[in-house]
Amino acid sequence: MMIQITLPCRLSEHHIQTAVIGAGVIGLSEARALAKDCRHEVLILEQSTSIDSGISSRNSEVSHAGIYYDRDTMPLKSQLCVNGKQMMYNYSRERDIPYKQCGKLLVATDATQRDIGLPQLIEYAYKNGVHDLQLLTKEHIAEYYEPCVKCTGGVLSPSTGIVDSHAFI
Amino acid sequence: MTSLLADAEELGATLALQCKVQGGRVEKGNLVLQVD
Repeated sequence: MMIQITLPCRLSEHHIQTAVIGAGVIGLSEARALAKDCRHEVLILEQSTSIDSGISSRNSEVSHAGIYYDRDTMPLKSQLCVNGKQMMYNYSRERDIPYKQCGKLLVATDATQRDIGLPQLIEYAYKNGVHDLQLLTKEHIAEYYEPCVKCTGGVLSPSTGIVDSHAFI
Repeated sequence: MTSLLADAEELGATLALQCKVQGGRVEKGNLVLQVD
């Protein structure tokens, strides 16, 4: 059966003020913000039978530190990544949502990655305001982090973490 | 433990499952969505 939902552009008590299409992490965040900050009447339309069947809960669940994006070419994305990371940690902590700021080890597998790739990551991170990256030698990695990994060097990103996406949404 | 959905619903938002948006159009200043 086809249903028509009329969404007026002007305020009215008799119509849905705002419809959000999709109940993933973005849709639910938008719905929450619109209801909270704008006091909108919000209807969330989700095509599936549950809210946890899409990409928002089918991913690595990593909260990225903001080290992959070039500030010069992707200024908004890099800024949102860094800000969003902290917001996600804060939100999860306040609501007892399982998360862990476990850090991430990025390794180089050849000399080019070690000499060009890793410094590039550190430069991106620094420009994005992420100042906690640690450049590691392969000996340091083997002794203190991961003895079985074969690499030529690496970078430790302490602020990277993981979050329980099912609990989050 | 509360989630984004619980937050949104507590603030008055309503979730409608199995509602696939097929299309939409502007009609007399309103936005009309077709939902299957």
